[in-house]
Amino acid sequence: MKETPRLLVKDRSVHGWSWQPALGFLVFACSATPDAVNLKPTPNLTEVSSPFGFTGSLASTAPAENELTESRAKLGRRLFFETALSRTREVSCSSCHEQSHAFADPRPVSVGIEGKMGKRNAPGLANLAWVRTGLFWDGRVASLEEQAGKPIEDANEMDLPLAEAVARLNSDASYVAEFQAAYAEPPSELSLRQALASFVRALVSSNSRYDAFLAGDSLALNDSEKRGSDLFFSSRTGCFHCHTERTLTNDGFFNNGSYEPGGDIGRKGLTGRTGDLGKFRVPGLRNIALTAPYLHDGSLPTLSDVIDHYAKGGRGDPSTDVQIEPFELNAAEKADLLAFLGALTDQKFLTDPKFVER
Amino acid sequence: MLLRKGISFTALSISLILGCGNASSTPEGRETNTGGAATGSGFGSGGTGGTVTGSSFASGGTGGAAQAQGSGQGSGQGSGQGSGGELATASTGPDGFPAVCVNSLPLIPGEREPVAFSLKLELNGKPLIYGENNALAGGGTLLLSNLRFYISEVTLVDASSQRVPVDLVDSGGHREPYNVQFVNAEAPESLGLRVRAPVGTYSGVEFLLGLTDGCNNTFSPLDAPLDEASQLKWPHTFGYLFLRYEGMVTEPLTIMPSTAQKVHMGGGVHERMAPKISVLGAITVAKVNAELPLKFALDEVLKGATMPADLANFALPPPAPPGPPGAEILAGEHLRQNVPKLTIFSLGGP
Repeated sequence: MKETPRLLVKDRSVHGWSWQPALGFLVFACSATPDAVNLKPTPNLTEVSSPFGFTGSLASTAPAENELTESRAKLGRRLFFETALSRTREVSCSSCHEQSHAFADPRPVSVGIEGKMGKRNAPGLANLAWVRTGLFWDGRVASLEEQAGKPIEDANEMDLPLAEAVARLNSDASYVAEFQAAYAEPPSELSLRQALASFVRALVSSNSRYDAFLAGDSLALNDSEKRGSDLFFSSRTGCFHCHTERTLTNDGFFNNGSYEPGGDIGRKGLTGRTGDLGKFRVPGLRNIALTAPYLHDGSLPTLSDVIDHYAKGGRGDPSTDVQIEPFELNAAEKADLLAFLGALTDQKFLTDPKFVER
Repeated sequence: MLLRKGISFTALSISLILGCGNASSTPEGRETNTGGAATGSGFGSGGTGGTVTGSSFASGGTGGAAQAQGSGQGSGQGSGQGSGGELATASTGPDGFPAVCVNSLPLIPGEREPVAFSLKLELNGKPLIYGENNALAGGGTLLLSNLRFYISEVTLVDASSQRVPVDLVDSGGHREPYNVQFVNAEAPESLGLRVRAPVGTYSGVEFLLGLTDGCNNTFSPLDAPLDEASQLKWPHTFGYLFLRYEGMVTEPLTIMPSTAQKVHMGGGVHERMAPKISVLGAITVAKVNAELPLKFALDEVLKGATMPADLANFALPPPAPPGPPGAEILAGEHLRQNVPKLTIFSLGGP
């Protein structure tokens, strides 16, 4: 199956993420009603603090040509749930990015229109505003704005030319009004992508107990979670080589030992470099307990499986990064490590009403 | 204030630190600095003004412990650690460089012209290609998968051996944040140094392979290139790696030691400084923009990682989690101590 860009679709693993095919059912009857018409006040999407340790404000992460504004983020939210952006009007971005799963897809690979299957797992969408090295599992697009249009056009996802998507939006007076308010122009391919990017940019997760711990609450983690943290950041497991202390991703691309001959070549497909075989983006781990299944292909159903994968040093292909080395954990230590990963869950992010379709 | 593993430090404190030495945190979480660390002369110009961000390692410190080691002799690069032994000033750290880490530095006043050093990665005298198999001298190949390091505090040396401060600038002529060049083998645009210097002829260039103690002495998040995305931030304590290398040797490791696979060279706040590099060679700064090749020999890095070193007192600074440091970190310390004996950088060549 050819690899294709996907929209705000998840793709996640403990090493490497990007977005991917995803698309599926969960057809949301798209409310074509903007907030202004609903007359219901909604929480601001853009007035949020950066997670502890993330450099720069949320607003500063937006490109100058797409300054982050409330109207743009809210328009993007409406578009995120818009099934009219798929050729058959079956699926929307939200079909594969479910808030209850930290905007990831609980299926190994996502399902687009007419049941078409992608080939990678759709990742969670938290804190993508701070990603600088490229989106999708292989980093093939440079910005949220560029990424946002890909899944709409991808044959395995929404399969709708952007021009047609724009035409559909222009036929809806409420959309025209919202685009005018946000971008001072009717819907265009550019503003469509920019609006979607604005919403995704606003998906900030910073309220896990680990965040509280980082910010100074030494009681935010229990003893088991603290022991798990020590293991996570130890040379013994080496998790920290890719998953840094604050952002929980080093924003890089690594071969985490998941490659097998004949499998997905990852970043090599983009660069052609020998050394990029099987490299995928390192995902941030906030809410990782909710984004199963794991790895770029969704091949590991549980976090326990993920730990086992790394403990045995991956699947054995010589392309595996030299930092993926076997280690041993006893049952109690593994439980501690799992407990720590569970402490990365941000319950507010999972239920925050400002991210819900309106 | 964050209390963790017995060490206190402020969270996300942003303060203007004037005068330095050993840092401490006030109950309000504001950084203060007491005492002056002993320092040497260094070779940097320091900086004034700008924005200072970060928190400092609140330990007893080891001001004045740096010793001069090595010297810039020979045809290629000489180097040393820290600087040495001179009295402290209020604004310098134990390495003789600014004790604070300044993001936005003003350009040095005066008429200056740009000169660029184009970094050429090499392995045994041949071009080193990132992401591809490179031939090893004894047979087999080395696939370079990651190579990143910092260069900071660049100065030129004039005919009378005087160090001339220069501006380390980006392609737009603006000073690089924190006076640091971040080199990433995967990013061709990062492979070089661009400086602004007075017109003239120079006998060499000097810099730190890493960061000043002032920049290494941070816990609070800093902007790029001193953020986690550099892949050089210690994940669980203060400070940074100065150099990170990972590669895959495709022949049995009898040909090369295991350190050929990964070397992470870091520093220790107030005690293990970034190695000083001195590269000899004629450098002319003129009205016409000049570009000079600056060679980087990975084989020298790998050699240094296996040379004898004193690790008796080596430890990551607190609050590092319990457990021994990894082999790559120990290899990095071998390298750090042996840099003065190596010729990692040299000028000239194609």
